[in-house]
Amino acid sequence: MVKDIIISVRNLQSAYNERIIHQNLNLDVYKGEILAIIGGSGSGKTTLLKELILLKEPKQGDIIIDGINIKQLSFKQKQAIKNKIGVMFQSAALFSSLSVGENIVYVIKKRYNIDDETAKNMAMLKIKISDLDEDVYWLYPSELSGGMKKKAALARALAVDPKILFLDEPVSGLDPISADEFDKTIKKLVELLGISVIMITHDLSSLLIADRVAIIANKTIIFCDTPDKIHTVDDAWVKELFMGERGKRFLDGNKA
Amino acid sequence: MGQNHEFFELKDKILYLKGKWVVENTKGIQKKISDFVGFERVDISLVDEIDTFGGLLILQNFDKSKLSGKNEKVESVLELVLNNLAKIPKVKKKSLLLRFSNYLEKKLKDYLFFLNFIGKSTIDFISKISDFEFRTFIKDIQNMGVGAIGIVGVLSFLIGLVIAYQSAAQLRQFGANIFIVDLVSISIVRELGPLIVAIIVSGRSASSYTATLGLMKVQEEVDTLDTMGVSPYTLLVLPRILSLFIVMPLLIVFADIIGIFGGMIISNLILGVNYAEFLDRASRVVTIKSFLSGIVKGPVFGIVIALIGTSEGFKVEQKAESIGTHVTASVVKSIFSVIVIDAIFSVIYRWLKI
Repeated sequence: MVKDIIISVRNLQSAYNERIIHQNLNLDVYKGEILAIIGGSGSGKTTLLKELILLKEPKQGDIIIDGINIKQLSFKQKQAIKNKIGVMFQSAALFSSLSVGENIVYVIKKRYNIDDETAKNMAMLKIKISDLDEDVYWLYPSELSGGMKKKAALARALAVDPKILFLDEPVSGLDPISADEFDKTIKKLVELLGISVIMITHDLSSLLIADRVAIIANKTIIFCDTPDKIHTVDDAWVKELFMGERGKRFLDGNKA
Repeated sequence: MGQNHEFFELKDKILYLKGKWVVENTKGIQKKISDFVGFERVDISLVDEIDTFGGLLILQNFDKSKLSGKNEKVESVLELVLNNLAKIPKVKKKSLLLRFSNYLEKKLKDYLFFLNFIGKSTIDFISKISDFEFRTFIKDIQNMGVGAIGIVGVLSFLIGLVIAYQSAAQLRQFGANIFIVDLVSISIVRELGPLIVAIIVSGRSASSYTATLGLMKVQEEVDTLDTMGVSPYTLLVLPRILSLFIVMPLLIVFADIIGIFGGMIISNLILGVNYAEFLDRASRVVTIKSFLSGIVKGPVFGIVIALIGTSEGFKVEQKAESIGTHVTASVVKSIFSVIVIDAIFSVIYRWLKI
């Protein structure tokens, strides 16, 4: 079965001044899949994410999102692409002067000019979908726990039903049980809404919900396939990650 | 009879939903939805695309028992929406009396916090003086003292100029030209010099203290110091109090000199009082008592400004607007206190007959 490609990255080169981060990087993301991106610290995961969400311009190469090359787009076209993506940043990044509900309503109204009543109902729905209580609607980010902040950030990322959801270390700082719940919520959303998820993660158990795993090393993607083929990768860091003490636990868990 | 539309089609008393029921089309769908009446069933099998916005619209506008037709995607979205529907909790409106009492409580807490802050600082200054950093103290003198010289100079020069200019016209009517010296030098030395400096320092230093300590508080640096056994009061508050304590009188002396210089220039230009005459009279008019009575205010203002600036910084909470609120509060409070204290000084000097 041929799957539709929603994002494709071709021969990407990116750099901060003289320092080259990516060289000849190619990546395809299919519709409706969860793609996990892993890699050591400083390998350029977040840089790739920033380029995919139009925060940073690549030096060379093409990024095609939903059939549109993001190079040299007009302001309006960029806006149209931004409407298709939802991003959850690592630090949650909720607006601290708005309550959680208002955070979501703000996004809905800014993007689609929908009436108050509907926007509020949608915000409440998103809060519930992200596994939070009704009361959270009126709470301010400073009143939330770490896990609730992450969920609230997910709710805001989902605000306008994006086609592509970017998650930057969604479960970092959560306890294992909350992390599992969070992973399950994401899996459920992908199945029900058919969205594509690109997730940067350091958490090996999050790989269990991923359809495919991409590994960034040596400035490019050295592996991009289903999680069970990871043992074929010939890279010291990856071997240590999966075949070392930590990885054994993960692989055993995966088989069980 | 049949009605046709991008999202609806009414045929044989069945309303067929079709097209893309997604967020972009929410407005369009809402506009049309009430035009269609007189159907018995709603068929969802023709919907191409749906998201939670479409799902919510369907569930809000049609009775669930009327829905029919097969469409896996729509059904799964409807189920997701239905399982997660919830009412937004109502916020209780507070009565006027409650709001007033909350306001009073907040104000009271504010004062208690300030008292508590002073108390804790004093205890820590005495018991944990070893945490004092001499470098911070010197750096603060550089920033808040030397850094303020420019603006203090310009403003006091202009104030001296303006006072001389305004009074020149009045004094000339009586031929009392020479008294411009008394007027300018005494008013600047006793009142205006200290006040200008205090207001400038309130604006520059109190705000900077609040912002600096506020950010440290937000980033949990203050808590870190506390857990390390280092007193944040001795480390962060004491150097700032001491530096303003030292810097304020020095700035006042500087402001006095420049202010009188400004007055001197105008006196010469407008009233023809030459520089030698002016300086001669000034040195006799400005007694050591009145000079000191201005300078003495400096350290007091300095301590108050530093205490308000740092205590407001410690009040900052984990909110983006919190730093802004407290910086405003610290500037307003320090200028207010400075003027009140200045008034108190006047009363005291009156009693002491200085």
